[in-house]
Amino acid sequence: MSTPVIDRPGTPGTRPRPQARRAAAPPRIPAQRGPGENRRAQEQRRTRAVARENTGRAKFVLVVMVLLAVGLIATLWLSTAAAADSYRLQEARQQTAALTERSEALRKEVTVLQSPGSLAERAAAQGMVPVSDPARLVVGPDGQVEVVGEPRAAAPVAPPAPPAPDPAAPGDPAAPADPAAPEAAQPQAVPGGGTSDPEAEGGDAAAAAGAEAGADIDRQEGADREVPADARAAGGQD
Amino acid sequence: MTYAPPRGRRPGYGGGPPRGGPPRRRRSAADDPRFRLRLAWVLLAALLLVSGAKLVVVQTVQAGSLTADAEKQRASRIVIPAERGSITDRDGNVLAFSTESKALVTNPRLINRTRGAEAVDYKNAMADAVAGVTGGDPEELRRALARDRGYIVLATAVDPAPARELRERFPEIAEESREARQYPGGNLASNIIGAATWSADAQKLVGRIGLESADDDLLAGRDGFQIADTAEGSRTVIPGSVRSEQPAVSGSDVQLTIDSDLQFQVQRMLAGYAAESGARSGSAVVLDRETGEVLALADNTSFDPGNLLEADPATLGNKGVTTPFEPGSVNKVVAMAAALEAGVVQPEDVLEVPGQIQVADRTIRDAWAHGVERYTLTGVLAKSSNVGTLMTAQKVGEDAFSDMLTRMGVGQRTGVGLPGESAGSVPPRATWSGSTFGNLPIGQGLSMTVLQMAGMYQAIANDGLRVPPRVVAATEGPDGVRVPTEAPEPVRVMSPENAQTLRTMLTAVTQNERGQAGTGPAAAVAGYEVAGKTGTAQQVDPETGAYSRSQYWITFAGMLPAQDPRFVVGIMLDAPRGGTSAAPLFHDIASYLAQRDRIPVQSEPPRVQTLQLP
Repeated sequence: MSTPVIDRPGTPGTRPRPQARRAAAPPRIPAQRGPGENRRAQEQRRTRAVARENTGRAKFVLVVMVLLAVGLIATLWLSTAAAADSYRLQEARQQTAALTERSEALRKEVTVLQSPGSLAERAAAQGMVPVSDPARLVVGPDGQVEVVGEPRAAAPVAPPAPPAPDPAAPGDPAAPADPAAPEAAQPQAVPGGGTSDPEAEGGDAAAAAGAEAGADIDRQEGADREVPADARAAGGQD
Repeated sequence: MTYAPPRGRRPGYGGGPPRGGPPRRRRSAADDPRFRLRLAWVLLAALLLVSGAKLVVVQTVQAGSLTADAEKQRASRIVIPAERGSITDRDGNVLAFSTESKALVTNPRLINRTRGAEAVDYKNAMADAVAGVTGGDPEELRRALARDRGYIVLATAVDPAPARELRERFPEIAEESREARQYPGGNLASNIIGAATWSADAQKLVGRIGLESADDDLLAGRDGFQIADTAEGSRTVIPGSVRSEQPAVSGSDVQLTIDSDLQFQVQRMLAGYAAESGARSGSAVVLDRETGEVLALADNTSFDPGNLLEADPATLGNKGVTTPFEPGSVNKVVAMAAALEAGVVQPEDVLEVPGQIQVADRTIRDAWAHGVERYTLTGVLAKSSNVGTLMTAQKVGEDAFSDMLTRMGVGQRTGVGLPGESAGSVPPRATWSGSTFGNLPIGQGLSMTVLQMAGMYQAIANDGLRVPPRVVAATEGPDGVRVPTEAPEPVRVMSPENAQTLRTMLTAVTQNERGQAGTGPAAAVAGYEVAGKTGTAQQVDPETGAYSRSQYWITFAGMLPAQDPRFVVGIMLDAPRGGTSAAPLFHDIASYLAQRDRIPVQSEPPRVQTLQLP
């Protein structure tokens, strides 16, 4: 914005600064103008220079004021925003924590549910039984279908028998399939005498000889022996 | 310093008595303003000097210690806990991982003081609420709360959400952050993984047994810390006061070679079979033929790692790698392999096998009495003739046999990566007596773990190249880079042709033809050719110090399918009821493997091999 302050010839109060005068004194040719005319022009020039200077200062002041105001407003706005954001941050943090907790809980649940043990349990609860020995159909190149194995209905599995079954009844439940017969059928030789001799092993067909009652008592005694644990849990629990 | 001008000594000025009164008392020195002024000067100067001296002392001499004291008062070292790595199976199914949990503690004494008469009701309500969340015994909590103590632990592992609710309801409850270890599979592979529990001393999860303990450094990571000023009595960090910070480094994840489903089935079958046969204990292992990776490794007993304190200590070990046994006839493949490698025998060679043989001062008999029989070499192996095996071993010689034992990995740790691994034992070659060579070929007088036993058969299955078994497939550091375990150096045990020949000989063990039956037909799987070997070894009776005639280690090692094996299975049962064979258990495991991996059925029946000539 410029304030038109022009042409007030002979204003006595305006005392041009030397600096202004210097600036406003262009080279001239004295012979061309009369002395009065010359003076008026000088005055005019001086006035104009002052006006320009005033305008410049006002502008500067204004710019500074605007800057200050803008700065103040910006500071206020930023600090307000920061405060508001810190609340939002807090909220977001809480949400993250809650979601993390939830994801951990869900992960726990999912991993438990998809573990083989839990799947087997639920399958059994639905009446499913594991297939032990499936028969297979093999389709030959000529389209002939051949059955490999013996088809059998799947039987529900009994839960694992408790340990330490009756030692007086050897052999019978342990040999589930008839192929075990040749083993048992083979004549047994009791490995020789009571020496410390590491006599021939009982053979794979084996130990049927050990099925005598006396031998089983030995075994039972042996079973009481503590099997050394290889590692133990350290205490340290509170 | 302000300077008060001395007062004039004008008469009547100041507090002097009025003129015309009684004669003035003579002034003392203390009344002299100049003196007072001087005194004040001196005092002030002295004060200034003392202050200055103190200032110098505080600012220079004591500066260090005072600053340190001040910092100690405000600054706290806050530990940033590192998350423990997880353990997964070969397909990435999680076997062990960590979650955040809270321990709830309270101060009964404070409750008594603040709640007064209502304290008892209040504490009972608290006990019921906590027990409702943790599933604990409310009576026990009530008793704990009734005690006059300043600190009791109400619960050790509560999920954060219920813990927060409890804390909101009962402001006297405080929580302590903890890391809880989750084992979603329960006792699945617990003998391998082991368990980690919270250590109150270390303020972190610490591996107690198994891999959790052996790989603790890897899994635990490194706690970070932050040194910062905190508001008094709390852990709230004053912003901008962080002086030093080191972020926590999470633990590495460990991936095992274990297959969860197979592990579950093997555990279940083994536990069932061991119970059925009355065995004292049992172990089984399934290896991948090509890589030697452990797909399943089970004991007949296992424990719940989430509840380590209540576990039976006898169930905590991993007998498959820690407890060696005498393998019995399973070891006969060593003599056979050595003989085939030496080129001194062929599978069809016929041996005239008497019922007993003299080795040095010992007489070794076959398990069944017989006269001189004509067995083929295959028949010697399939019928598990001790005498025939020793005859073959003698053809090879002690050195070649000992060398083959070493190449098979007997007497050496496999380096599987599990803690407490046993190397088994083989008498050093230099200490062999005459009769030693009558024991070792038939699998007595030396011991091995079930893993070593399976390793021997892996060599036969893998065309003579033994790859030591491994259980850790890879680790994944906090940077997310997966580092596979370094592949073990394979050992050439025998030539591929001889391995192939030996496999064919081993199929005869499961053969069940009239007059030509092997010792383990129960191991056969319909539609597949199975190679394997049964074993029975006498145990040493601790009472007599001699080999027992009633207690045996029953073993089986085999592979499926025989000609292009994919799996190697080793089984050991410790002192089952007499007459028990491990072959049926091998059959169950092999049958499951064939189904699960859809191994192509071999439609033509395997060739019948001649075991015995008339």
